[in-house]
Amino acid sequence: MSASRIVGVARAVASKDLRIEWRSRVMTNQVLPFAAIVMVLFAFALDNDGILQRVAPGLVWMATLFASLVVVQRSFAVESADSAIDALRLAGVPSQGVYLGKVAALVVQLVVCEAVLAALALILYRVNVDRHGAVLLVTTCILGSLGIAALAAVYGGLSVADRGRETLLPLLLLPALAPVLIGATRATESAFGSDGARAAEGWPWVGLLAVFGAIFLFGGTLGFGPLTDE
Amino acid sequence: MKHADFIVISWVLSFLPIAFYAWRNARRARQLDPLVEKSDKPWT
Amino acid sequence: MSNAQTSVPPPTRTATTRNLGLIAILGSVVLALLGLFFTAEDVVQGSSVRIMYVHVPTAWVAYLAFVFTAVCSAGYLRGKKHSLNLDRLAGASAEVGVIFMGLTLVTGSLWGRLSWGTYWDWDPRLTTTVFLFVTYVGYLAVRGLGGTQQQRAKRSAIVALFAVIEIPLVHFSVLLWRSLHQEATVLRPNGDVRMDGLMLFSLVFGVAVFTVIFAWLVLHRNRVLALVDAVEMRGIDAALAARHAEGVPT
Repeated sequence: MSASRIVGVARAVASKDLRIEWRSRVMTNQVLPFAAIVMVLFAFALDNDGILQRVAPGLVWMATLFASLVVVQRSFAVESADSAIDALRLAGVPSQGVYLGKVAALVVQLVVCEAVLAALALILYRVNVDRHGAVLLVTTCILGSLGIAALAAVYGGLSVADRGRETLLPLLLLPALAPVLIGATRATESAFGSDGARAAEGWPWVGLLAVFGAIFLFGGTLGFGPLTDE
Repeated sequence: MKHADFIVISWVLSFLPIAFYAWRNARRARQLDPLVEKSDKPWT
Repeated sequence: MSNAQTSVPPPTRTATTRNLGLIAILGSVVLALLGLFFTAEDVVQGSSVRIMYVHVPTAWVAYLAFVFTAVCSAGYLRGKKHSLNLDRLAGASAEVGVIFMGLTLVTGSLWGRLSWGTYWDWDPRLTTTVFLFVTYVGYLAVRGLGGTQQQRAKRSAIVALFAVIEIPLVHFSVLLWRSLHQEATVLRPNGDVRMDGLMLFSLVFGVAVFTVIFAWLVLHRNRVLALVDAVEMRGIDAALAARHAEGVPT
């Protein structure tokens, strides 16, 4: 299997997924409002401006995790509907390409989601970001999304074949994402300057996110094929 | 609770679930045994 | 051993499991005598160190079980035959591992109540343990998803390998996370104690006894899982035969 073929398949799958999302408007009409309401509900539940400002990074990433569950389920519901993934398999499409394409599309959707959540944190929780912090925040979002997407696509692949498996996704995914949550939250804390953290302190965490992302991506590329091959 | 109670409870809680698991396992084996042939039990 | 058990031995018993079981029971009794009566109290921890003689072995066995699950899963995936027996061994080992990890959490929090004054503390080891527990509960759920036996085996083997990769990642990130929140200079024993000869011997003996218990449980469980699979296969064969019989005009 040549590398260029895999990249080609990945690009095709990713653009197909993004086109479906763009046309169905599920992201803009359902996922983003859901994420936004989670942020508002956090404010109700904590009910204290000082606390909100301090815990804003954690809330942004918790909301991202919740939203990622919805996004991943949606991403693989598209594949199991009309047995689309079986058709891909019958066509002899390399599974690594399908996996990488899925991950790429998920990363784009998650980054959009995080952008909205971070903006909401700026407005609702009154956090401040300077220029250095903004660069850090963008890098964190991209690498954090990569880690989430790389792992989520693997466990999402498990839920393709059958109905009634959706409840399994959070159980498998959320504990596995703990390292990403820790790294991303600490980096975002530095970007937001919560608790007097400086932006420069965030970069080691970004490095950690990159390592997690690489490991998950590597494992997923190997494991996705056998996992969905049924 | 006294100090000693914690220790005794820890020991009991360590062995009781194991015993229960082993017992349940043996019961399941006896239930299934009539449904299979000898060839299904390569260890015998 | 009661009369009922000796008269009808469980169908999963062999000479090996019988001997292992006897060693396990004898060993447990000796361990209880050592841990509860013969060993001295610890200088710092006092008598709460006695929980260690069950806590440390269960923790050790749980980790052993998860590594064994990963080894069997890798063996399943690598082997040309795709041996279902390796898959069942992995499953049996994970089940026992989850039980032992649960026991570790319970005894650990009881120990924490005595030593730290609280049932729970965000100690890196404790936190990692909870993550492992949940992860392998998820693994067992994956085993129950259905499909053919080979599908189950392949699927769960990959999930098991992912889970075992997660162990160091989670532990490492939790360590980093905790290092930021270093508490002030309160004396907090972390479970490492200075041990005299007999205490150390008891601990090592405990690990050995629980490892024997592990082997005994996994062997039995593995055979029960084989019975479950065999019954399933016989059910399918019977259904196929019935189908053929329907198709034939009489």
